[in-house]
Amino acid sequence: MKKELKRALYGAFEAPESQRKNAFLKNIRQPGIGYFKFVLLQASYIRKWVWGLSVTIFAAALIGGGFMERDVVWVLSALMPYLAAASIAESVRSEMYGMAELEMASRFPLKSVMLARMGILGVFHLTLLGLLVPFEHMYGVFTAFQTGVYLLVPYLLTNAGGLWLVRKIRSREASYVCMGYAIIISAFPIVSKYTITLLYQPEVFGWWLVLLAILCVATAVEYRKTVIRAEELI
Amino acid sequence: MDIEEQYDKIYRYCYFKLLQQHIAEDITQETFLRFLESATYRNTGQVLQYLYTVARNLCIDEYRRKAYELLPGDEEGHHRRIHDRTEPDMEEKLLTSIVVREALEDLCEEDRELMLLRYVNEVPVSVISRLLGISRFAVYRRTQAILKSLQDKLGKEDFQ
Repeated sequence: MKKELKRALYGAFEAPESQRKNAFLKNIRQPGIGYFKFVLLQASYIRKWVWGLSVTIFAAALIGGGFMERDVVWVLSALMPYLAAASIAESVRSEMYGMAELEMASRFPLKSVMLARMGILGVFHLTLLGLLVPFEHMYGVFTAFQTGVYLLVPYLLTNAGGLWLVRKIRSREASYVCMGYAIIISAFPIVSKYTITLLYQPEVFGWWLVLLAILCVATAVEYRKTVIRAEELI
Repeated sequence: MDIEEQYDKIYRYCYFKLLQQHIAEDITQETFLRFLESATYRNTGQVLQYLYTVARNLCIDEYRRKAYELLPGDEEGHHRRIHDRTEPDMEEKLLTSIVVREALEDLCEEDRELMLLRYVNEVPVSVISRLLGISRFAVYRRTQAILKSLQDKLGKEDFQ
């Protein structure tokens, strides 16, 4: 619509200035709960095994890297897809179990619940990764930056692909397919460690960075599409 | 939801329906009080639907209670409703859009409501379709037809 026409429409439908608006808005009590309280509430609904898996992986890195003083980057890379798969399964749990409709009729919209759960798990996993990277670097053969990239790539690859799969397969089977996909991704670091050793060589690190950039974009796009789909369901 | 922004829009809508500032404000506030008391629609993604439905129903109740002389389809009434909006502080602004106002006068009450909801208050099509009880396609088709007729008239008057 032309701006001029829109402005003219606004003018034609303009109402006299409200006299009691400010007094009314000052006196009413705003509904709902605060953002922080909402996030905490949603965190309490995340299943215990998801937290447990994350902490177990963190503990494995500590034990492997710290106490055994061994390079376990490739083991952690192999475990990252399970972390991502657990995160996806938790974020889209309502839809996987056919409860999306019920959730939308509840106190909070499905979109807010999904965003909160994705955000909580995303921040939690990134914090764990952030703690792992320097620790792993102390005993590993890679730099901290390289370690971070080697851990993030399988995580994001599972996230992007898993979200795509969940969007395409709209049923409980999606969780099994997603887990199968995570298993395939997790096999890569193990295979690479013993067969395609070239993958972890410094000369191909540039390709890892390119892959990381592509996966960052792909994951962001997939998250956006998943959230938009939750909006469309309303 | 930004209550302040929605307050202005609901108030504009109520004023459009009733043309009485104080009653429009009363109904706007009543709408929000009902919304705040109701936990059913709050945070379920259907806030706009709830607000407009309550406001519309309250306006209809008020309309019936006061037995307004203006009835839908009353052409003379339509002209009066548009001209009643001319207040001194708005005069200059309205002069510039006189052609638009005249074009709006030719529309029926429901089409004007549609224009207000869609293009002034920017209500989503899905909410309008449920509010007016027509399909989304019908909303789209009607708004396009109204826009085209408005643009034809504005073009003739060299008002672009």
